[in-house]
Amino acid sequence: MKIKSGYLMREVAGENIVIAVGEAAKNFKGMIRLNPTGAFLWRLLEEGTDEAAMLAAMLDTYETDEETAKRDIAAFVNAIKGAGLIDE
Amino acid sequence: MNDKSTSSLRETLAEHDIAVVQGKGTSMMPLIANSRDRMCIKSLSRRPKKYDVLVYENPRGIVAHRALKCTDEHIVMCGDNQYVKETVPYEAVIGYVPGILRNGTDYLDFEKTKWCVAYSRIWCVSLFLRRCVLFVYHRISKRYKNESAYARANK
Repeated sequence: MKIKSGYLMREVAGENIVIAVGEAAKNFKGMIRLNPTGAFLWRLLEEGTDEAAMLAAMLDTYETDEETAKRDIAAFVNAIKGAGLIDE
Repeated sequence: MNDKSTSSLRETLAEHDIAVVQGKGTSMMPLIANSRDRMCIKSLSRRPKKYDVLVYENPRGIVAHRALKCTDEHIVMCGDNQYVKETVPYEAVIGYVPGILRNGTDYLDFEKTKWCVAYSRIWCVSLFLRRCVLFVYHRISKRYKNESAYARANK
């Protein structure tokens, strides 16, 4: 599971935003704003991390329980998948 | 931009506080080139100040120009590639441009990048000189165009 090429996250004036470049910009005209946790998960997905490794990284970085972390990761991955930004 | 774009930008900023748009026109050249850069627009949570690149509404639509002076009543604006100043009420301001995505990818922060800060100061100070240079340039290009049209018509 990896973020498709052509989608970049940039920190713009204190906000993490995802924009499309090149060919991807022809189909994706908008912008996605990520909160700090979303930006953290996005970086992992850029490296092609799977959900189990994302869970481990999240539990390692944030003070949260496994159940909440799993739910948040699933919600994030579904949202990104829904926007068509992931290569399975 | 038309009324739909205006309300759309206002709605985006109200909802997300930030918008990324591809600019049109040449009024902010050489800093912002429409085919090269994407403008990041943020809603203003502070009072506009001199040197800010502000996005505002005027009779022609939505424009992004630099603030040259902020008085109690209005803001004096001018594009970096223009020499005619425009007076804008505070209510017309929609947001400001904290930076651009150069070539669509690399973020260039206008307030944190030293050369951008220096550029904005020099650009504002040199307005009179630029006005003279642009006036002469526009006159020459207009004359050249007229002469070319005349030459084509007499061929």
